[in-house]
Amino acid sequence: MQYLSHLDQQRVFQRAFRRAEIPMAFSNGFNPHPRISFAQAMPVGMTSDEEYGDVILTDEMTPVHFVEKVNYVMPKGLKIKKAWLIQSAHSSLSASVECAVYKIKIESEESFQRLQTTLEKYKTLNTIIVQKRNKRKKMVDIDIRPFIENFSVDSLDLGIASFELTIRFIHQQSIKPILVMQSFKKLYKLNLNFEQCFQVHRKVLQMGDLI
Amino acid sequence: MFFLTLLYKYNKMYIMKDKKYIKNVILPQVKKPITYQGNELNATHKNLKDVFIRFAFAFPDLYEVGMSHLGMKILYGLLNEQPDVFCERVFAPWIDMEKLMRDKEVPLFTLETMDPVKETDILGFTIQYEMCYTNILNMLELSEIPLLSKNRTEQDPIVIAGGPCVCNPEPMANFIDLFVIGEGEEVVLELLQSYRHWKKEQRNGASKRQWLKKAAMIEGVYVPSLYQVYYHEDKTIEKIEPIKKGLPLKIRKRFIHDLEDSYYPERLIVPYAEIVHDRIPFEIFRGCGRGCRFCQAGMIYRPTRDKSVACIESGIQKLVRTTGYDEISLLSLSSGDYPQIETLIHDLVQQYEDQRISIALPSLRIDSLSVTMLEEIQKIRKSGITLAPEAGTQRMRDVINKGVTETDLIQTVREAFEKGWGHIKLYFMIGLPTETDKDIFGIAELAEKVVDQYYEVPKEKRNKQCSVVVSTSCFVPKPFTPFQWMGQKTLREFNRKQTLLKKSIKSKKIKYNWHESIVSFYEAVFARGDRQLGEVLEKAHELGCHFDGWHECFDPGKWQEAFEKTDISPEFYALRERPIDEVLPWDFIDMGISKQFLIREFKKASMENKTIFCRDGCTKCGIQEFDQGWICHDSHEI
Repeated sequence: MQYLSHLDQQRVFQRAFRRAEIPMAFSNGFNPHPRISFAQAMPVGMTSDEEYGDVILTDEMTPVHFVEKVNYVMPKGLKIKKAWLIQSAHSSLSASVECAVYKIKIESEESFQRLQTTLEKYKTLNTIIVQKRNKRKKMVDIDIRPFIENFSVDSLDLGIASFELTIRFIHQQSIKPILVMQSFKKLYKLNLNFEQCFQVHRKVLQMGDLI
Repeated sequence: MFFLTLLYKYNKMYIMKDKKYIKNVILPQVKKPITYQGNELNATHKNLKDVFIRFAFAFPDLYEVGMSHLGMKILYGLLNEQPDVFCERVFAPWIDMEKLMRDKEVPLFTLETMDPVKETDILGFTIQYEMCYTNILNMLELSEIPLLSKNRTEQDPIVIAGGPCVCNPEPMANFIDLFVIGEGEEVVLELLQSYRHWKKEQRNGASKRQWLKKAAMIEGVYVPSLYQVYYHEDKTIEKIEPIKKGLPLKIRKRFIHDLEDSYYPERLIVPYAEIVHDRIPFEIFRGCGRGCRFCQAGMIYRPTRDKSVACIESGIQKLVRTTGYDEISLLSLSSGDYPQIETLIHDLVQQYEDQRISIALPSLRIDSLSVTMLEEIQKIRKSGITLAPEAGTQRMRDVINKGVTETDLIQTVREAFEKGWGHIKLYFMIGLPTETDKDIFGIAELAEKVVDQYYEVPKEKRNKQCSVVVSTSCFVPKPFTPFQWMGQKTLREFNRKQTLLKKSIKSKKIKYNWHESIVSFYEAVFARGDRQLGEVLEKAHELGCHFDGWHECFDPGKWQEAFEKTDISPEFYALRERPIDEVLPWDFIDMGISKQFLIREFKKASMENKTIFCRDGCTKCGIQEFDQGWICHDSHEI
């Protein structure tokens, strides 16, 4: 499932719901689509322990029954953990995301000690300016520091360093973990190798008032 | 004994490490990594301990293209139904992946197990298009299998091939150990049965060559190494003969007699990645009796055989449940010709409308289906309309026996505009036999008439936008068609015709797209090529030709170099008009239709005479004589 794009993922759920004969509601228009949405897009290459999604149904069914039916036809590697029934319209899922916790693995030629001490230094910075491509494809400077809630290095095993990074969402804005990793590498000229091994795993997606 | 076990384990561990390497290091670096990973819903996995024959089914193009191909879906399901056979899929890796595989020395692997292709018993290619020949060579090389059949050892897989292109197998004869001619469902099982016997005897020293000789006796099987070609001094063919007595002099194609009871999968692999035709394909009949004289499929897939409405509907129901797809495509060479098409569409729309599952009819003739019917199938999802008049004037359409008339077309588009459609695509061919500039102007005139129809519909009724797209392809004469003797038009001539057409289109509502003529030229070379072209293919491969059907990869300079270096003239194959009595490279293959029929049709074409639709009366194409006792259109009570 690691290399599923966001669109691929949407199709996987649509088709699973069809196989499970879930009474989905559809959009109107020339090309009707099932009304399914996800809190956060899953970039290609990322894995995750939990994600949130919405599906609007035309008939009521119990969450337990729903989970059972869908999981029965889900492809290996994807599973619905829990479902809630939300009766009335609620604020959008993506607006409810508060923070995301990532596990990041990367090939490192640095010692664990060095990674730890530089990371402490990194966290004391008040602003961290990086270049980012905006929606109009222009490079702009942004400060990523406010988004970083927590950042730690957990282990270094066989040359693979393991980090945990918590990104805060501010007015539905967030940043990609790779931006943090790249700025960390660049600031301290660390020997971190993105090409050979770089894996991002979303461990937790913390939702606010919704659930 | 102990030592051997250890070694085996070590070997396994090594392979495991390799797979992890592909997954974690190679795949993150390529475009669409998901297309190399397999593990899709409904993919087959087997315990290798229970498997006696490993079959790698190879499609010599991208995953997205190959996974859309119906033949592969049928054979994959059928082969995996055999308890001791494991069929796995292989596709051509895209150029980024190929480069990495070569750099890191990763051999071509199957999607199901990620094992090297070389470890399978049989490697079977399906050949749908002449411009994928270099991809086949490339895939053999990436698999570390010698390109030339004669250089392969007992340890290499047996390399087989089938599909429409192999009705002229000769250009690929040096590279393929065994060809399957015609429809594969039955013959592939006979082949596997014979292989099973041989593999058991192999321990007693039975060689691959011995098996090939046995397999050559199965109807529909052609083993090129057992046949010799003799040439005249002018490089035309004198004769093609088996090297030993007892081998069949003619290779007879295979066809399924009872399509209704023939195997059709009840589950289909559902890819994660979006593929070209991302939907349920359901074949409603096979063959076509229209007899368009340019169309190879319409000739080689005879006779026409229908499935019953009940069979189609129950088959579709199973597939809807097992896949979760939201579109069903009713496949055949001309779906509007299905005798009960209206009933079928009506039933399907009724059954699936609520679930928003739409119905698609990809091959429609202008005269075979009403716009009302189109409206019904597009209730769920609305798209444009594509029509294929094929030629611009009635005279030209009569020559190619494309029965449709201008009235048919005008009526259809008028109705479509009235019903609110605004986008219409029109397909044509240029460079058809006997074509003059008048026929080219005819294309422009026809397109203008289509636009006129739009303006004749009252403003409040018609769509706000109108666009007519005219697309032309360059005619490629194909084996087993009445035009198989014709020379193709020169590149210069094609380009002149394209410019002429472009200039004669006046309306701003018309957009003109054309196919590049140089690709069609090489397609014509290989479609009617002979064994001598094997050398050219090898050279082209050496020069780095691959994905020749892809605009961004096709390199005409390299192809020219390949022909020059081997001192072979491509014009000899593409442009030369053959005398009727010349021995053609594919003459030793019997595709069911008789040569007399093709000659008759060729003559009628030059006299601008039409031939009727064979469902309306037998046109004596030879298929009933080919298979004694076969009676067309009577196989099922419909």
